[in-house]
Amino acid sequence: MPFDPLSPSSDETLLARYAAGDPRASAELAARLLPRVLNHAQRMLGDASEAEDVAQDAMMRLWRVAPDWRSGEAKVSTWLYRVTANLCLDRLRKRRDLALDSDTEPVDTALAAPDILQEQDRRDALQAALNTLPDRQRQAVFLRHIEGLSNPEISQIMQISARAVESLTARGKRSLAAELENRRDELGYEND
Amino acid sequence: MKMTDRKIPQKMDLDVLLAQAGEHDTVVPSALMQRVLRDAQAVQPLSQATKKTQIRFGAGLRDRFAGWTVLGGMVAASCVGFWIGFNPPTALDGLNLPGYAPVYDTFGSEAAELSGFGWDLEETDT
Repeated sequence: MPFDPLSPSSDETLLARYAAGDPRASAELAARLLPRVLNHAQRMLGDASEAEDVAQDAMMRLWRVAPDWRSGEAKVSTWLYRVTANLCLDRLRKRRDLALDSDTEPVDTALAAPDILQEQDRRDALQAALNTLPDRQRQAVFLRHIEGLSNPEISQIMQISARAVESLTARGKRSLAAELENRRDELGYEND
Repeated sequence: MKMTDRKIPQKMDLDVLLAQAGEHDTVVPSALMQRVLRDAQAVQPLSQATKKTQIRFGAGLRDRFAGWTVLGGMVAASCVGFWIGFNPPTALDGLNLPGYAPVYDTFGSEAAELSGFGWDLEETDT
């Protein structure tokens, strides 16, 4: 989300104001952070309704942690991305467990994605391709190439080394390119 | 917009595609925003000003009544007094306390006047 010049307070300052009882701080923080959290959850889960639940849950954790927030230790957005990612991974794990318990084929997220044959735009096709990536690759590609975060930030969010981030994003991008190559027609690109 | 209206690039560029996805602003449904703000309000710590007001109010009460024990005793005594007035114990029936007259005697002697205000007499006279 673009930085709002009318609201120069940092996320951390706003969180401190919220913890001090300022009733306007939560609205400002939510306007700034909720779209990013929701986008992250949507990209990870590929399901709008589940993503909303995760976003609400992640924000609730932020409100609860506010009084104990230790200034200068982590960026609020980084912490929130990590919480969101963990919540999404939990849900994805449960999905897989359910699929295995019911003795059915694992959910093919590519098939579960919206019908992309005719009317869906490229974003949907990209999301469908992202859904075919392993969870960690998808998360790394999303954070690096869609959210535009730096490798050190991503390594903090995913709690892995910067080198592991590089490896994940590179492999993820290769897989994504291969997947999108198969969907060339759906994307509206002409074959060479 | 029709598919044919779109400007279709000849070659797929993954970086461009990803960058375009990043430029897309996520629209937060208003119902979700309201839920999130309601959550925030529900768990928000009290402001210092509110805390001070609450502390001042409690301390004021305590000081006025010389401590919580005295204040609690006064509340208990008021409750007991109210209950005795509302439902007097039978042991008090036989006592001729000064100024105490059973209420039903008063009503019994003047019941007709109280109920008819004398209008029934006026009707019979005419």
